[in-house]
This record gives sequence, C-alpha cells and structure tokens, in this order.
Amino acid sequence: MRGWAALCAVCLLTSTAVANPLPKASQAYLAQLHLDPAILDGIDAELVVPKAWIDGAKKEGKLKIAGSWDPDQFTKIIAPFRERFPFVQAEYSRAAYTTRAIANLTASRAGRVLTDVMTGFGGGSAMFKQGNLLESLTDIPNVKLVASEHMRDPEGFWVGHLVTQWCLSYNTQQFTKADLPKTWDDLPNNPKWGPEKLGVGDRPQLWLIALWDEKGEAWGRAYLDRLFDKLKPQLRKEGMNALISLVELGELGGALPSSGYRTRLEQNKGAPVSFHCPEPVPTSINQLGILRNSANPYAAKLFVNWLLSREGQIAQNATDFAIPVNRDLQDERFVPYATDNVGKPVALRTPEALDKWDEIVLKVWHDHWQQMGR
Amino acid sequence: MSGLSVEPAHPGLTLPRRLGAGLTLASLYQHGIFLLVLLLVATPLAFLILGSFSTAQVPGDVSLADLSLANYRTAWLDPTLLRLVDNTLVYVIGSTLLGTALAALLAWLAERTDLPGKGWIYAGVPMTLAVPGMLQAMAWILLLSPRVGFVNMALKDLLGLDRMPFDIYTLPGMVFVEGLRLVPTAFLMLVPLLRGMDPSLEEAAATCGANPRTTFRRVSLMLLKPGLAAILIYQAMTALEVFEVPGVLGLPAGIPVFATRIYSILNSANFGPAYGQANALGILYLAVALVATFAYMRIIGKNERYATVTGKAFRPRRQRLGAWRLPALLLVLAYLFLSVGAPFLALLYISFLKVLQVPSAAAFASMSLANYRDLLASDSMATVLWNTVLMVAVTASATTILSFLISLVVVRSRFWGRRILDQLAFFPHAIPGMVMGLAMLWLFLKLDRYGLPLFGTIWAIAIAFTISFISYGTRAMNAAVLQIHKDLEEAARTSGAREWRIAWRVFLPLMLPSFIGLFVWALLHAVRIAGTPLLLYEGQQNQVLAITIWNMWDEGYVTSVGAVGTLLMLVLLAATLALRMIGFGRERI
Repeated sequence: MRGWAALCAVCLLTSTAVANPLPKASQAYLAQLHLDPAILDGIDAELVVPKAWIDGAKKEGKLKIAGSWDPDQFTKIIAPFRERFPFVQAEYSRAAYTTRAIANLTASRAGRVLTDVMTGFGGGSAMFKQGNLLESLTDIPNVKLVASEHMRDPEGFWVGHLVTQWCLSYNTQQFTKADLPKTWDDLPNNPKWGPEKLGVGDRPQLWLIALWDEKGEAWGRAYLDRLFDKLKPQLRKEGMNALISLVELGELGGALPSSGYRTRLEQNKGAPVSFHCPEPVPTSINQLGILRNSANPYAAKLFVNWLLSREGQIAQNATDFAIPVNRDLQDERFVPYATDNVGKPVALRTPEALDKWDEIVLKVWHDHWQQMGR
Repeated sequence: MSGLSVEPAHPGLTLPRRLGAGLTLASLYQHGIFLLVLLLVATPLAFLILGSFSTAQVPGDVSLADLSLANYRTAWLDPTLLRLVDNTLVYVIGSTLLGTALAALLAWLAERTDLPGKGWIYAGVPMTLAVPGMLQAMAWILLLSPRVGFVNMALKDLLGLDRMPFDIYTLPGMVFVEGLRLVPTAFLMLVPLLRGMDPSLEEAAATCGANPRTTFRRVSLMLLKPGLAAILIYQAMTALEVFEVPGVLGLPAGIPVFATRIYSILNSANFGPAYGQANALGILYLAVALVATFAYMRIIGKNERYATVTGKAFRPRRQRLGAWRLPALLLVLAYLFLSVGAPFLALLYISFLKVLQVPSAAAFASMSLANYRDLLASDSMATVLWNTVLMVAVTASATTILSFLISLVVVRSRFWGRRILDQLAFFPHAIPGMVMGLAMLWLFLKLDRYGLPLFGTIWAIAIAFTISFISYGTRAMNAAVLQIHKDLEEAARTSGAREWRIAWRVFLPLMLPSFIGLFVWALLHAVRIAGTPLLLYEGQQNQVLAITIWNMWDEGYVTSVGAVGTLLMLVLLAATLALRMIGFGRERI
C-alpha cells in the first residue's frame, strides 16, 4: 500500500514536472550551456516546500540578500527564481567580504538584522555561529542535495552554494604551458616566475589554508619562505578580480590566487589570460546562511532551497561559471578549465581547517609581507 | 554681548560667573557648539582609544575584562616597525612639501598675477579630488609602470632607450603621485586667503625699499602663516594616514610606510584582535594631531596680526608677469596635464576597452561604447545618482556651516574650551577610516534602537562624512575667519545690526570664496570616499556612487570604472566651474 502511494506521488510529481514548463530564463541557460533539458527533469519535485513557506513568503513579499556576486550577475542568477516565485521581490546588495561580514555581524549583535540571506562568510561563519546569529537550515530540503558532507555545516547553520578553485591566472603572452608549475613546490623553483612577475593578493585564506592543512604546517612555513625569498612577488592590495585585470594588461605575469570562474569570464572577453592549478588544487566552499530573526525568513528559505536545486545551480554556472554543489551536477561540464584541472588531487579547505589554521596562516603570511620592505 | 560675536562681555570674569549671571546667548552658543562637536567626535574617538586597549574579537564588543596593553606591546614592540620610519618620513615630508609648494604656486598665479586662462586652474585643479585614489594610482601605473607604462613605452621607443625611463613603483614615484593628490586641498584653502590679503602691506614694504624677496618673506609669508601652518598640518596628517598610494605603488615594490602597516594589521585577521593592534598604532595619529593643533593654536594666539580684511576697501594687487608669463603658463599647463590631463586620458582610454590592454592598433580597433551603454542600462543607476546628489549636497552644506560656526568660537572668542574645541574638531582626521566607519556603524545601530532610524539612510552617510570633514573645514575656516578684522563686526554692531544680519551681511560676502572652496572640497570628497558608506550601506535606498565604483573595482571591472571615472571628472569639472563662478564672480574666472 505504501509502495503504491509512493509511486502515485512520483507520478504526480512527474506529471507536474511535465505540466509546468521550465522558466524561460532556465531554458535560455540550458541552451547557453548546451545542456540537454532532461538534466532538469523532475525539478518541480526538487522545489517542493511546505505550503506554509509559500504562504509566508507571499505575505513577506520581499527578500534581502547580501553577497559577492556583482549586481548584474545576481539579476541573471535570480531570473528563474523570479519567474517561479514572482511574489518575492529580491533586493540585492553587493559588498566586499570585510564590510559585508563585519557590518552584518556588528549589526546582528546590536539587534538589527540587515539582510535575510548572506553569502561569502569567509572566516566569519564561526563568529556568526558562536553569536547564535544564524538560522538553522536543517529543514530546507535541498540542503541534503549537496555533494559532500564538507559542503554543509554539521550543525546545519550554513551550506555551501558554490565551489571555487583558487589557483594561478597567467598572461598567455608571457607564459607558455611549459612554464606552468606542475605542483605548488615547482612554482618557487621556476625562475621564470620571478622577480616581481607574480602578483600575490592579500587573501591567503582562499588558497593557502587548504594546502597548509593538506601538507602540514612545516611545509606551509617553508613554502612561504621559498615563495617570498626566491620569487620576490609583487604584494598587491587590489581585490583578487582586479589582479586578473593586471594580468591581462601584462603588468603582472601571473596572479595568485585567482578563481577559475573569474578568469574564464575575462578570457571569454578576449583577454590574454588563462588559469592553471598546480597540484593539489586548493578548493573552497562558498558558504551561505540565513540570519536569525531576519525579516523575511520564508522567502529566504524558498530562495536557498531554489539556489541549491539543479535549476539554481545551473543558473549560477551559466552566469559566472561557478562550480555547483548539487550532487547531480558533479560533472566536468560545469568546471571551468576542466581539461586542465579535473582529475588532479584536491586540497579542500574544510571549515575545520579554516578554524584550525586561519589565525596561524594569517600571522605567518603577514610576517612575510612585513619582511618584504626595503 | 551676544550672538555670533563671542568676545566675552567681561573678559576678566572667571568661568563660573560667566556661566551663571553672565549666561548670555554667546555663552550658550559656545557651549552648544562645544557639546555638539564633543558628541559627534566622542564615538569614533572612544572607538579608537578603547579599541586600542581591547582584545575583544568583534569591534564594538568592548568590556573591562578585555582591556589590556597587549595590543600596544604587540604593535609597538615589533622590531620591523623601525624600518618604516625612514620611508614614512621621506614620503610624508616629501609629498606634503611638493603638494603644498605646487598649490601655493598655482594659487598665487591664479589670484595674484595676470596669467591668462585662470578659469582652467580654478576648475581643473580640484577635479582630481573626486577621483578615487585607487583609480588615480592605477592611472599612473598605466602611464609610468616599468613594465607596461604607456608613457614609458612611448619614450623608450622614441628615444631608443634600452630600458624604461621611469619607474612609478619607487619612493620618489609615491611622493610624486601623493604630492599631486595633495595639491587640490591646499589650493582650495590658499585661494581665498590670497584673495583676502590686503596688498597695501606689500606695497608699503616695497615703498620702504624692500625687494620682492624680502617683501614676500617678511610680509606675504607672515600674513599667510596661520593658513600655511593649517595646510601643512592637515596635509602631513593626510599623507601619514591615507593608504591608497602606498598600497598600490609602495607595496608591490616592497616600500612600506606607516599606513601600510596599519592596513597590513587590519587585513591580518578576519575579525580578530588585530583591530585593537591597528588602533594601538593609530594612536600615533592622535598624538600627532594633539601636538599639531597645540602648535597651531600658539601660532594663531595673537590673531589680530593676521587680519587683513578690514573696513578699508582694497583690491588684491595683480603682479604683472611680463616675460615670465609664458613660462608660468607652461608650468600651469604641465601641472594640469600631469595631474588631471594624463590620468583623465588614461581613464578615457580604458573606458572604451572591453579588456584592459596597452595601446596598440588592435586595442584601438576593439574600442566601443559598451561600458557607457552598460552604465546607462543599469537599473539602479538613477537611484544611485539621486542618492549621491542629495547626500553630497547635505554633506557639503553641513560641513561648511558647522565648520564656520566652530571656527568662530575657536578664532573669535576667549571661550574657555576653544583650544579643546579646535583639537576635537581636528581629531576625526586622526582616526583611521576603518575605525571611523565602524564607530559610525555602531552609533547608528544604537540610535536605531532608541527610535532614531537613521541607519540605512543617506542621512547617516551625510552625518558620518560631516564629522570626518570638519577637520579640514575648521582648518580652512580658522584661516579665513582670522583674516576678517573684528572692526567690521563691531562697526555693524554699533550700527545696530543684529547678529544674524552681521553673519549675513558681513561674514557671508567676505568669506564667500572660503565657503565655496570648502563646499567644493567637501562635495568632491563625499563623491569619492567609499569606506564609510560601505559600512553604512543597507541596500539600494542608501547606495551612493562611491559604493558602485568600489564594487566595480573590487569585482575587477576596471574598464567600467574607467567609464564612471571619466564621466565623473567631466561632470565635476562643470560643477566646480559653476560653483567658482558663484563664489568669485564671473569676471575673475
């Protein structure tokens, strides 16, 4: 009897899926990525949420999101969501990591919740958790769809919404494939990358913590000694994406760290840049959370559930080449520079690694920055 | 005795009597201004001082249990700190002297000579104030980088050199760029002072046989002393504190200065106690500010000496340049090209590109208006521009008025707290930008809880900016008020004029150039600065242009930023020109 009921439910869901055409934006993204529409079969079932959430979101009518996408990207990402849930008016604010995290943390502690959904906590998620400032996401169905346990908080307060590989971007007019280091240890040993050819951005958390955790503290310390002493890189205070612009200009031969998705965007515009990951590939999970006592909790849950679905993840990938977290999309078609980088060993920056090494890595890193002075 | 004139009715009386029986309107005004400035400055100041002792993880979470000297020990006992001293001194002194000397020369040429085309100086010099420092430094990289600098490459090819002739990533390069950046502020302050100088004193010196050099040294320079002192103090503090040029040009070449260290500490932790260490280092700014304002008060101690605007009509003498006219004109053009023209052309060039690249036939062939089209197509741009116009207008007006009211007390009165008031007004300049932003964030969140919903509005940004800007505002106004002889107010008062009428009919017309100069300065800074707005930003309702520019920059859309920068410079050129015409009269432009 129970088996029949389940089968009926599946039939019902399937028929719903057939009955409801995909949002136009999703159709466009599938075409853009040359994907078979069957990849979204059963998406309506994936988006089923309690009726109370829909009713609540309708009442709220609004949703505030603070993140690191640029506004145009966000408009593209959320287009299918708007079609599905037209009663939710999403307002997006973009801010850099420091201001986004600090402003929200300070405000939440003062009792004022500035946003409903926040992405890109960086090293700040622990502070938000300690302060009991995050809503539990355990009741959001699609949180369970993330591909790995590392992609969600064991206690359920944050979830990953995209995966980023943080490696090297390089100017293709200055370096050939033969110049690219196979491993991270090869980089400081290759004189072609120094002196002042390589620009390093001031965000070691993005790439170094993963390697540090993978290879150990002794390796991490020795590696920084070699990197700074042998290559004498340019210390750059610009943001990581602005560094890629300097690479395409030729001011830098390469930049560390750069994200694959952003490099791909620039390369597609015709810039002479490419992306390379020495082994192991430093990989991090971009976190997302709902702030406790936010003004629009139901709309926030609807959005998070949608973003983690295949449809949300494909929208994200079509917009900025972000690697999906959804377990059904773990496919090299969604990985920028896949032919170069898929199959290499990975160094994942887990939340535990972040907690364990953040302070130490930052201190050692900044000691090196301060030693670089003439 | 009452109202705006703040001379005590009975100078010999002690404070209690004045507050008691002698509680006059003047006294109320003085105490009111003092209290207001104290309230405005107290929060960021407390954040800086308490934060410097605090080891709490989140800024604002200060408790007695977290207070210690640990931050001072860590920050100040670091042996590498000593290595910064040389670089910092060369950088600060070099750029301050270069900026002030250039500004003085330009202001003198514009105000006191028969140089043609002065309108371009008035409108062109302040223009660079509106361009974010990061963008300006980037423009200089595009021009003078030893790897891809457009000018360097052109000169190398032209002269057949085997290496690039210039390197902007050097200490002289940093001094050069920061020096150019400091020119507009000093220029805006010097122009009204030169305009207000009675030439009869110089003429008298010349009649007594003094040569031009002696006249300049013994008369002109002495009269300008308070103004120059204020400018030098302000400029040196700016060079010491501002991180943009050392960050973009010094860090890549391993030339750290003091501001680089504070940045480095702030960036060395996500939320950690490093904020406290940065504050502990930032206390140096406060100490410098204390000493500098104390010295300044001593200089202006006998302020009647510097009053040059009296009841006697005068017209500032214009020096005939004669044979020096052409060299002077070339000098001005060279400055305008270096300071405004070249960076503007660099921005204009990249604004037409899709991908950042050095000039080439291919680059020119790929040019399009796409970046401009994208800006116009942006959904939020209209709201952002409207917010910016409102915020900037309120900030510039409030800064001008408040600075004037403070300066009246500081310069004109014998109010017991006038020295403290002057120091309080200068302190915001000694507070690192991040600390100021966090303090404002905390303050507005608290006010929000007490029923004053300012957070998330453009008014919060305007208030925060006004607090930041009164440092400069009071330096400019102090010098300008010093020039107005008290006889003028006394004469008006004797004629029965009320205080508001004296302000309206005496101060306003005589100080209009100073008001306009300060207004322009505040306007251009409010358009540009992103740090505080980013922390007070809640959504589209209080998004301003600086946030949009910063976000584009941070996202790496450098060519789009070029388009915004180009438009911004053009619009502000027109606005500055218009304001100067209002301030100085069409005939002088």
